[in-house]
Amino acid sequence: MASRAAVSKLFARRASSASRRSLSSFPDYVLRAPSTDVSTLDNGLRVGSETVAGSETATVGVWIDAGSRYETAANNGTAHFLEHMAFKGTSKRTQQQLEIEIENMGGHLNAYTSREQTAYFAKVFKKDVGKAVEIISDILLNSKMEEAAIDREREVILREMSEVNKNQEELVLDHLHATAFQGTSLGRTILGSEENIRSLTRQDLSDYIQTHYTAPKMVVAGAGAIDHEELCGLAGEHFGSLPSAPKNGVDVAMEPAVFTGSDYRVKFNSEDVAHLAIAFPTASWTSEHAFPLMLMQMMLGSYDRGHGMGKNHASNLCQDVAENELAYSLNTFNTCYKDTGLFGVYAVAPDNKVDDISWYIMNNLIRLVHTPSDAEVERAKVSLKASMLMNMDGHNNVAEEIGRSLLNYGRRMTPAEIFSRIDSVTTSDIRATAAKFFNDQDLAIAAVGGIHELPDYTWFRRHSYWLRY
Amino acid sequence: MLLISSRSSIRLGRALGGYRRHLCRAMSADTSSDSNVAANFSKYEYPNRTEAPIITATTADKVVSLETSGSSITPSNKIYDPSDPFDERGQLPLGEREKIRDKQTSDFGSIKLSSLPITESVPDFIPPNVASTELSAPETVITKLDNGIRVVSQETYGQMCTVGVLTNVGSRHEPTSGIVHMLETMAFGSTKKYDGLQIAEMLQDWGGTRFVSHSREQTLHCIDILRPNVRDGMQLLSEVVLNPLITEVPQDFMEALAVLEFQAQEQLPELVLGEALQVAAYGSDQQLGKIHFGTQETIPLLTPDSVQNFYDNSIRSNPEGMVIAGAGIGHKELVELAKDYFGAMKQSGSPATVPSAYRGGSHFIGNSTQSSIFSPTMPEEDFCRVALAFPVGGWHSDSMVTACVLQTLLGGGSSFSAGGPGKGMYSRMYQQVLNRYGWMETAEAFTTFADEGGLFGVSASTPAPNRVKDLVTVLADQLARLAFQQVDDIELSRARNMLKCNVLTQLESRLILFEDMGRQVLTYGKREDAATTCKKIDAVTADDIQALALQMLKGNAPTIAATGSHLDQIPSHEEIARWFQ
Repeated sequence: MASRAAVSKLFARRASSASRRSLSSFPDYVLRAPSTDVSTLDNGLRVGSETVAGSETATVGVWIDAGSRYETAANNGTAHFLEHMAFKGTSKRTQQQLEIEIENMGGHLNAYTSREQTAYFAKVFKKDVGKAVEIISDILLNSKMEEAAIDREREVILREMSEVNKNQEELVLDHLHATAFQGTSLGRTILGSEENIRSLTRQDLSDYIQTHYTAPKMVVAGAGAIDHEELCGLAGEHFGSLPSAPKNGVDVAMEPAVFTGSDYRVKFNSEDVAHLAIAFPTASWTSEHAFPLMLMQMMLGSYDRGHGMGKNHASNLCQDVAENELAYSLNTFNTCYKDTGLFGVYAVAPDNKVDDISWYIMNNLIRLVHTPSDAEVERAKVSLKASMLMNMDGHNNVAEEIGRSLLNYGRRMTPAEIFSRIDSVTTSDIRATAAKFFNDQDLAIAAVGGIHELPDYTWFRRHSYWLRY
Repeated sequence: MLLISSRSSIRLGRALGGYRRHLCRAMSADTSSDSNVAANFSKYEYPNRTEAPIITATTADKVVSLETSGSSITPSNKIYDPSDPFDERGQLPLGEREKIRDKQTSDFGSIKLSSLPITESVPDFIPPNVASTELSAPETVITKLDNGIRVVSQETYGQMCTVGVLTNVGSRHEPTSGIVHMLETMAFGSTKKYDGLQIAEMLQDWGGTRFVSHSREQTLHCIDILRPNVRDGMQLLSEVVLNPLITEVPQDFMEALAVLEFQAQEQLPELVLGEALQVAAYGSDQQLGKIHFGTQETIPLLTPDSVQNFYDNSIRSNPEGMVIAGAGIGHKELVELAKDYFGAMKQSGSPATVPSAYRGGSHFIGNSTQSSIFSPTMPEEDFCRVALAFPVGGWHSDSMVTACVLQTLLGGGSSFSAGGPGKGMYSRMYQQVLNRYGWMETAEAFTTFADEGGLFGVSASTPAPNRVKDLVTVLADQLARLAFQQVDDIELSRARNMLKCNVLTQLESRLILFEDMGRQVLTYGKREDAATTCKKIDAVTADDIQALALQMLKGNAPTIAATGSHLDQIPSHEEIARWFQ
C-alpha cells in the first residue's frame, strides 16, 4: 500500500555519483546520524520518521498544511477554534474518556496552530504508538463539535486571547503582521477577532475540515521508538480514507501575501516602556536567501540585560545596546512563510531611549549591506550550526522538525546538508541578501507602550540606506 | 498601476527625481491615512491596561520626500575642487544622492549568490548518512582514572555533545553561608588564565553554551558544544572548575545576584519556600537546614581568602569526589580528555558530610522579612504559600521510588495552565483540590532528597486571607488520608505510567542524559539504566504507598513552611501536629 521511498535508500544511489573529494569533506560525526525515512501513501499522505536506537518512547503526530492564513476575514480564527474542539470529544470518545485514556497510559497529547500550519501530536511508550495514531485520527476526523461545547469554548478562547496579549512580544508581532501584510490573510491573527470568536459556527468548523484536511496537505511524523513500516501501516489504517482533494470540491488557493510599507503605533501615555518591532519583508522557506538570512539573524543576535553577558556579545548590535544601555532586551527574528518572510528586530526599551535604539537598529541592519566582516560571518556560522542542532534535543523536537520540513521543503535536510549549506554562504552573499531586502526598501514598524519618542515612518525609510560610495 | 511600476526604469526614475521609489511603491500600497484611529479598546486585545491607547497608522504612500536637505549650490561653483560632490555645507545635493542610491541598487543587484535554493531533491554533493543499522543502541560506560575521578559517557549520534564536571561538594559543606551560591553565580567568569569576556567569546566561537547548577550536595558545570570543539571545551572546563579567579567577593556577588534575581523573579517565591522548608525540617544548625543562598547578612562576611580556602580544600583537592560526564561523545575520547585536563589532580582532602537528623517544626518568611533571605528587592506577594511535609528516606532508601510514584499520584500544578491531557489533570491535587476549591491558585506534591534523608509533602497557595486555614486543612487531609485509605489500582497504574513516561522523555534530552549519568555515578557509583528504573516503578504497590505514608506520618512532627502574606492565619505547629495524632 505504501510506496516506500526511504530517504536513506535514495541517498545510497546518489552517493555513487558524488565525488570523492566532497565526501571526504564531511566528517564522521556529521554522517553518523539517524536517517529520516519518508513514504507517500496512495492518497497522497506523507509519512516521515526517524528511529532512535534504544529508545522506549516515541512522539507521533500529524502536521497539516493549514493555518490562519488559509482563512478569510469572515472565518479568521477557525483553525485555532478547531484545535480547541479537537479535545472536546469525538463520536467514539467523550472529552473525559479521551483525557483519562491518555493520562492512564502515561502519555501526553498536545496541539498548536500557527499562521501556516496546524499540528496534533502525542508522546507515548513504544507499545502505545498504534493507539496514539488512532487517537489523533479520531480527534482530527471525528471531532464531535457539539453546539453547546462550541459556545462554552468561546469564553475559553477569549481568555486565551487576553493571556496571549499579555505577552507584549506576541502583541507587537501580531500588530507587525497586521500592518506589514494589511488586507491579506497573512496579516490576520491566529486566534481571530473577538467578533469572530463569538460568532464562528459549527458549519465554519466543518467546512474548514472539508476544505483543508486532505491527504496531500498532511504529514504523519514520528521520532524515537518508531518502526517506519509499522507507522506507514498505522497511517494507512487510520488516515487511508482521507480524500486526495477537498470533498466539497472547493480547493482554496493560499492568498498571496502582499507587503505594505507601513507602521502601526499603540501609544499608552502613562507607560515608560516601549515594545517595538522593525522589520523588512524577506524570502520564503526555500529561497536561496534562506541560509544567508539565518546567518544574519545570528550576526545581529539577541540581548537580555538580565543575562549577565553584559558587553560580552559578539554581535555589533548587542554591543551597541549594552554599551549605551538602550534596551532591557532585544532579539532578532527571521520568520519564513511560503511566499515571503519577515526579518527584523524586536526590542523592549525605556521610553527615553526609543529614538536612540531606532537609530542603532537601522544602522546595524544596513551595516550588513556595506561592512559585514568575514570574521563575524564565520562566527555566525558556528552559532547557527550550534543553535540548529541544539534544538534537535528530544523526540518532540525531531518529530516537529520532520513534520515542518516535509511541509515546507518537501523533505528533511540531513545534518550534512545543513552544514554544507551554512558553510557555503559567503560574506558577499550576506551583503547581497541585505542589499536585496533592506537597502533602500520599505519596511514595517509596530510599537506598543511608551512610544512618544518613536521616529516617524519617513525617518525609518530614510535610514534604510546609507549615502556612501 | 502595474504599468507604471513595471516601467520604473532608470529614465522614469530620473524624471521623477528623488521621489520615484516612493511613487512607484505608493501605487501598489494600500491606502490608509495617517489618522487617529478610534480608540477601540478591547480588554482582550490590551489586557491589564486601564488607559485607552492612542492608535496611529501610516503607510509608505504617505511619504512625500526622503531627502529634504537639498542645496542650491552646485559642485561647479565651488572654490576648491570642482569634482568634489559635496557642497559648501558638506552635504550632497539631491542629484548626487540619487546617483548613489541608483548605483548601489545596480551594483548589489548584480552579485551572484553562492547559496542555493532548497529544492525538493537532495543536491548531488550531499553524501548519505551512515546506514541506521550501523548505529547500535548506545550504552553507558564508566571508567575510574588513577587519581580517583570517575568518567561516564554515552553516545547519542548527534553533532552536539554535552560534557561537564560534577563534584560531591555543596552548600551543606560550606563554613560560611553563601559560598557555593556565589561560586554558582560567578562560574564561567574570570579564571587565572582568561577573563570573563574571553570565555564568553571562546564559547561563541566554538558553538558552546554553558550551564551551572550548584545545590546543597553537589556542584555541576557543563557545556553543550559542537562536537569537533569538545577538546577546547574540556580545556576551558578544567580552567573554570579548577582555577576560578576569586577577588572582590562581596561586591561582585551582590552585582551578580541583582542580575540573577531579575532573571528568576517568577521562581523566587518557590525558591524561598523551599529554603524555609529545609530550615523548618532540620533547623539551621544542621547541614541540611542551612540556607543555600547568600543573604544580606552573610554575603558581607565572605572574603576572597575564605572562598579560596573552601575551594582549595574541597573541590580542587578531591578527585575522588568528582565525576566527568559526557553525552554524545565516545568513551575513549572522553577518558583521554579527562586524563589530559584533570589527571594532575591529587586527593588531599574532602568535604565533611555530617548527617542531619529530621526534627520537624515551622519556619515562616513574611514579605517584610524576605530581604533577609535573598535580597531587598523581592516583590511583595499577595499570595500565602504553604508547604506541609514529613520525612522519608534519602537517595539510598528503598522507598525512594515509592515516594516518587506517590508524588506523581498526588500530582497537581497551577489552576491556570496550558497543555493538553498528560499534564496530570486526573491527579489527586487537580481532581480533589484545584478543581474543587476555586480560591486555590496552585496545589502540588513535592519531594526533596539528600544523602541521609528526604522530605515528602504538599504545597499550595491562595490569594484569599480567609482561606489560609482551609488551605492548610486541605493539605493535611490529603496527606492523612494516604495512611488510612489505600490508593486505588487505576490511579496507581496511571501514576506509574506517567512517572515512567516522564523519566524516559526527560532522558531523550542530551543535557538531561548528561546530568543523570553524572549525578547517579556521583551518588551511587554506578548508573542504573532506564529499563531498571521503570521496573522499580512498576513494582510499587498500593501497600508500599500506604506503608510509606504510615511510616512518615507516625510519630514524626510535621514540617510547615510558609511565605508571602497572611501568615498569621496559619494554624500553629502544635495544632497541625495534633491533627496527625
